[in-house]
Amino acid sequence: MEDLSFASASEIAGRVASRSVTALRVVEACLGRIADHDRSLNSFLNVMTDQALDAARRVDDAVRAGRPPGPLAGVPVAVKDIIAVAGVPTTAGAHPRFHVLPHEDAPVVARLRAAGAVIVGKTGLHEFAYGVTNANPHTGSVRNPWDRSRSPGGSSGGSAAAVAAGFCAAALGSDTGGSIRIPASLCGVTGLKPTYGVVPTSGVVPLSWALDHIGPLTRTAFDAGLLLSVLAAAPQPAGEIRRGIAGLRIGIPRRFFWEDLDPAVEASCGQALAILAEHGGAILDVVIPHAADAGAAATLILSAEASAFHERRLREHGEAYGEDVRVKLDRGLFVSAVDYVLAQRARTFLTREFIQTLRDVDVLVTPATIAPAAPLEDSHQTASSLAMSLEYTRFTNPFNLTGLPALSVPCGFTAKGLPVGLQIAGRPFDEATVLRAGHAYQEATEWHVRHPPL
Amino acid sequence: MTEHSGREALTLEQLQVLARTRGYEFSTDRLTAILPELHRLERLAQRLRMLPLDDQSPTMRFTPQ
Repeated sequence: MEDLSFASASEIAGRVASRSVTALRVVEACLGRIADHDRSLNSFLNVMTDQALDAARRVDDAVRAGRPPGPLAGVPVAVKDIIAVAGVPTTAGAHPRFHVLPHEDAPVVARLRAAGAVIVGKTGLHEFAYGVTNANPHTGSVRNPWDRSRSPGGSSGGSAAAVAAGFCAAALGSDTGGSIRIPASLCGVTGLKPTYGVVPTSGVVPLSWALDHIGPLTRTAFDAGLLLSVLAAAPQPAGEIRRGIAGLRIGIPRRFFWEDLDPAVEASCGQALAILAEHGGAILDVVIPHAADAGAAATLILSAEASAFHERRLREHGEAYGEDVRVKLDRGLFVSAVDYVLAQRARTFLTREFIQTLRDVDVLVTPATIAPAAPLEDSHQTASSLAMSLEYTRFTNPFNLTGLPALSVPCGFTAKGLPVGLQIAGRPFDEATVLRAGHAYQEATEWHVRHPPL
Repeated sequence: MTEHSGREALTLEQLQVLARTRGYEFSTDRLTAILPELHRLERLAQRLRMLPLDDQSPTMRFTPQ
C-alpha cells in the first residue's frame, strides 16, 4: 500500500477529491502509525479512532455523491488539547480535576470539519500551555521525534511531534509566547502564528487573552496557507504564495534577534539568508531600537492575565498544579495594575516601532529559537523550566506582543541531528507575504521533507 | 507619596503582608518559592519604565492597526 504518512495536506486533499485514494485509507494509515509508534513519543493524549474513521467515511461518501468535499478533504488533523472538540474531554494537560467535557466544537474545529478535515485526536502540551518544555507531571512528557531524550518544545509540543512523526498531515496549536513556532522549530516542521485576531480563539482554554493566537503546524508553508484560509474563513492566498521572492525586501534585525545564538543555529540561519538572497531577496539590515524590551512587556501581561484566569482554581486547588506552572501563576497574583498598564503602554509603543520598521522592508527574518532542543532531563526542574521559557521565547514573544504574523520553517540540522528553525515575520494581516517567503525558501531547500527515524 | 531610592526589592516579610492584604493564603515556603520570580518581574517593569513612552493610551485593542 502506498505510504502517504508524509504527504502534504494539499496533496492528500487533491487525491481524495480526485478519488485516487480514499479518506478512509489515509486515516486508517495514520491511526495505524500512531498505534505503532506513539507509545515512545506520547504526542497524543486521546486518539479519536472511531470518530476519525466515521468522519473519513463521510468524506468519501461526499466525494462519491459528487458533493464538494472541501479544501481539506480527508486530511488527518490533530488538535492541541486546550481546544474544544465536542464530546471529547479537554484536559489542557492538567490535573483531572480541571478537565471539562465540551458540548460544542471550537469554531476552528468546526471550520476544519466543514472543510473536510478529519480530526484524529488531541495532542499533549505543557500544562495549561504555560511553558515551553512539555515536561508534564500529569500526562508525562512529549518526546522529540528526532531525539527522544529531548524536549519537543512547547507548549504545542504534541502537535509538532505528531506532524514530524507522520501521524497526521497537520495540527492545530496555540501560541501565546511562541508555542507554535518553538516546537515547530525544534521538531523540524512548519508553524504559523497568524496576525492577532485573524483566527478565533473561542472554545480554547485561555492563557493570556491579549497574547493568545491559534494557528496551524504543517509540513510546508503552502499547507500553512491552506489551513489558515480555513481557520480564518478567508480566501486561499495560493497565488500570492507562489509568486517567488524576486525583489522582496528582507529585513535582518541583527541587534537582539541575531545575538547570543547557539553556533549551529547561527550557521543554519545564516545559510538560509544566503539562499533567500540567491533567489532574489534583497537582504537589508534593520534596527528595531527597543526590540529587547518586548519580552519584558509580554511577560508582565502574560503573568497578570494567566493568574487572573486561574485565580479561583489556584485558591481552591493550588496543589493540583505542577510546580513550575504554579510558581508562574502565584507570581502573577502580585503584578500591580500599574505595572500591567505600563506593559500595555509599552505594547502600544513597541507595536508602532515594529510596524515602522516594516515600512522599509516586506518581512523580518530571525532565528526562531536561540538553541536547538534541550534534554528533557533538564526540563523537569522548576528553575530549569522557568529559565527555558525565558530562553526559548526570546525571539518569538515580540510577535505575540505586537500581534504581527510570524512563521517558523525548518532551515537545517545540528551535528547531533536536531532541527533548526527560521522565523519570518511580516506586517499586520500580510500572512501572504510571510508565507510567500517561506514557500520560496522551501522550494529551494529540502530541510522540511526530512523525516525522523521511528 | 514618596519612593525609596532605587526601588528596593520586595522582602519576604513585605510579601507576606501583601498576600494577607489581598486575601491570599500562602505558606512561607510558597512565598519563598515565588519571591525570586517576583523580583524578576519587578526588574522587567523597571526596564519598561525606561522606555520613552508618550501619553498615547495603552493598547486595549490588541489587533495591530
